[in-house]
Amino acid sequence: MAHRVLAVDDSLLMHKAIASTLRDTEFELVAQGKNGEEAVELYVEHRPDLVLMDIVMPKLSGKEALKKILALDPSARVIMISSLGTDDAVTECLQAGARRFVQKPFESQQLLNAMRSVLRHP
Amino acid sequence: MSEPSPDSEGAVAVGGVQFFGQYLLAKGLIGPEALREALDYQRSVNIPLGALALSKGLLTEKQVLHVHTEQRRSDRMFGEIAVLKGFMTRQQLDELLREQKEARVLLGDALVRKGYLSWEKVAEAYKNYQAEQAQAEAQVQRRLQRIPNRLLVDSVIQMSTRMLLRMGGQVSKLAAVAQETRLLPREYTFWQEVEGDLPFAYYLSIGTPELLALAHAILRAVGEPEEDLPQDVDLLVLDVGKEFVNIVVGHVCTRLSHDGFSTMPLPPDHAEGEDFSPTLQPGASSINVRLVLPLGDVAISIRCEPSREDFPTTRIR
Ligand SMILES: [Mg+2]
Repeated sequence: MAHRVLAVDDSLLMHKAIASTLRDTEFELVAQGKNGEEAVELYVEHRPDLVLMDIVMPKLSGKEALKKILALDPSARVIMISSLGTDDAVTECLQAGARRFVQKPFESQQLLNAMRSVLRHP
Repeated sequence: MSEPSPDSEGAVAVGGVQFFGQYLLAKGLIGPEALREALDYQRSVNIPLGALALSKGLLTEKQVLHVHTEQRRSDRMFGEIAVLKGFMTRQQLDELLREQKEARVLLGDALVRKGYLSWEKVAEAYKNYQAEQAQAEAQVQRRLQRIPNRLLVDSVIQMSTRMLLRMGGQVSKLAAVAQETRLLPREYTFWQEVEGDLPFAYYLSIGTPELLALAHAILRAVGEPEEDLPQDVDLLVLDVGKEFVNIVVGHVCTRLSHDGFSTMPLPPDHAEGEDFSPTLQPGASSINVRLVLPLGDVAISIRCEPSREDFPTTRIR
């Protein structure tokens, strides 16, 4: 059965990049959000196996959305995808419970490797 | 193209740092049509090293992919990574590079082959071009030395150039840098503000043809079919512009964090029109940078607080 994925990013380009990466793989994109608020709502609605989360977004940032999702479901598997690879941001997200940090621009293989590795280590 | 502002110290100098094709255009030796055709021809016949290695059976497809992934994280050349990874020997790489170089069609070759210029004209023009370039590049480097907030400015130039190449497949060169009192906007400006220890704002101002070329290259890389590429500036193109800026700025902040600065970007935005002019905070300055591309240019502006003496500086690589 396909692993269900929620992708959250304020950029249409990134949604295209993620969709093309997941095409013809064992992953199924079940929902797409464009800010942190939508991320939380869509997480509750779909309960995906994996969340791909941007950081810099309007309304609610990916860092805040990550914390809210983990408060609702401590077993949530969230991978951060951001160009913002600052020591602060990476540490904060990983300490808050994000499983991986993938820096933009990413190669398809790099993202798939991160996703597979997260699913292998529940 | 915008006129230089009175205090721009020749930021848009006549001549200046440019690519050979632009030099030929400026000297009236060829027209824009000839340049486009020659550049297309070059792209169609020149083979990337990965493809050449693949066709020779030196690397597998998986190895080529692996090297490309690695390239995104470092500034190393394809061949260098392939050797480091043990995919080929130094000797095999040298042989491959020699072969690639022999087969490589330069712009001058392309113009001759397409019948736009004679060999003699190309050779003469190239000699003059090289002499002028050396002077122009030295002048820009001298100006750069006098610019405040060097760490920030250097990071911005480095990351903008790097992402234009990595994401947009476009080689760019630093053509001008000046501290000014206002922006020099083009048709579209994409910007992002950054909060934290070193607050700044990054503006990328770009004309329609350059923006479309950049968006097409970025969209192709994410698998957008050729027939779906936007032919005009639409919402998707504007989104690509904003995300491009977001990625450049994210990498600038990442670089700054290695020097101990804590920064946080706000979501990017965009504006249209050449009269776009956000107000400067009192005491803030605008550092305007012009990057030339083989088929045009982009203007970058960094607005920041006055330089602080304790800012470390790095040399531009
Ligand atoms: Mg974003």
